[in-house]
Amino acid sequence: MIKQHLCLALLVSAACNAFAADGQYDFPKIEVSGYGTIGAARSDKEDSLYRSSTIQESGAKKDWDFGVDSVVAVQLHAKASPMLSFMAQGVSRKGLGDSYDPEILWATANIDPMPGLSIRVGRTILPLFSHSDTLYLNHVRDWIRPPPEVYTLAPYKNLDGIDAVYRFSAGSYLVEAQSFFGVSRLPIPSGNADLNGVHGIRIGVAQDAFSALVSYARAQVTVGVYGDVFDRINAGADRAKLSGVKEQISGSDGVATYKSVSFKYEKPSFTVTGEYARREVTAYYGSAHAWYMGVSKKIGAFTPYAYTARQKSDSPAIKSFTPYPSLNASLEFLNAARNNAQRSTVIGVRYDISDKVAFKLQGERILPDKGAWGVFRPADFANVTISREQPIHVVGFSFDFYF
Amino acid sequence: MTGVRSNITSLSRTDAEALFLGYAPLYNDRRGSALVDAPPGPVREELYQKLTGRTPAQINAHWSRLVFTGKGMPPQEAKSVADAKEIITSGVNVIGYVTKNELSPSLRVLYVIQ
Repeated sequence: MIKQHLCLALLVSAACNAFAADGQYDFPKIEVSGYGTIGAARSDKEDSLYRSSTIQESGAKKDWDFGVDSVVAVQLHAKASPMLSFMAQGVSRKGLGDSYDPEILWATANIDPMPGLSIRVGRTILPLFSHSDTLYLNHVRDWIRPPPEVYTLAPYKNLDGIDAVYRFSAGSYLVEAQSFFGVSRLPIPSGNADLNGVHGIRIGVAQDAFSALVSYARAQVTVGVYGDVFDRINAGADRAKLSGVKEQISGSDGVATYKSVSFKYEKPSFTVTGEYARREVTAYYGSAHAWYMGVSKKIGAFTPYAYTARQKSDSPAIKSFTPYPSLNASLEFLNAARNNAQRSTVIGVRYDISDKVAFKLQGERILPDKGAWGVFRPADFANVTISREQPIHVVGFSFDFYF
Repeated sequence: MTGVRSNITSLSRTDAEALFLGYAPLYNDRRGSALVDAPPGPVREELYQKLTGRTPAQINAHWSRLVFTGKGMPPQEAKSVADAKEIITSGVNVIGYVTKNELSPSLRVLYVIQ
């Protein structure tokens, strides 16, 4: 153990204006960085597809699937002056239609009017929950991926709008306050589920090993749908002259609120973390709440971990049914598809190969709730077996890196 | 070892911790500051361990979160202790750290970590 005594030393070499601190740099200053995950997963079922996001249309069965978690991202950060910078992050990951087409995850102009305060305009972050802004940045977590129980509550990736982040210290507390406003577009299988007029706030406080986050957001929900199931429901409702059926499935009158509270207790030898999140929606989707609780133990380069997670439905997407059994069957199908309720028990180990590369091996037992698909998707829509209260076991490994 | 016209004459432990974790300390005049890190190694590890209670891996994860969410950039990394001293003394409002035996008259001590 080193017993040297360290000093922090400061030198001021000249009178300086408010932002002369950056005077040592030449502008513009451009930096390229990136991160990624190469991962594979497989399950013990051939009739259901394991996904890490509900917008993926395929997933892992009994064969190894490299599309569930693999991701690569490149970030460009350009500082034009001490107060003005630009940032863009492009990501390639399996998304809608199983496409790996690169997309611009974030692209902002950042204005820093004073130390600690950053105002960002453009495509920015939608920080609804604790891991929302690091969804693909897997090397910052011990686990292979954020718990789907919480993160399927809001599969949104970004926000077109404006946010302000203020990071400061107050007494012995380190505080990060963030507010945001904008719209979030989300193409989904067979339609879109957009958030308009998103406005919210997130407050993070840290002191020593303990940190906590609280967030709240509210938005208008617009859902557009197409495809066989919806055509069948719409045709059936029209034939039976039923009103109110289509309005339960799509429209622009929904209001959603998202709430989350999370904590982390992080010591050099162990970490305990947990989150509770809630989604309340007035139309198109059901309301649900979710939580996880996890613990990790650091033993040299190895970090064994375990967590348990749960999502529970509070109300179904479609609340009223019809006198027609065949139409009701389609509505029940839709309710199950929009219900991600499940519970997971997960164990794994992380091995830090170097500062910038980690290997993870993880096994999980997942039990979708009755009448819910959980994070899965049926391999065959004509023979849906997910909701039969059978546990599904998934194993996965990943290499996470950044540069 | 004092800067001639600086308002910053000392740094509390909380301010120092905040600075090296990417938070803005509440300076009276809200002046900006630039940070310099020692190269990866025992000096840097001891600094972060004693100041923030975090391991190198935890610090790396912390800065990754900030960098890849556009919330901040980590301290400039010096190539050596001599390079760190050079950056501190040639820059403006640059804050860094050295071991006690590396102190020189051109450096002002703000806070001593025992």
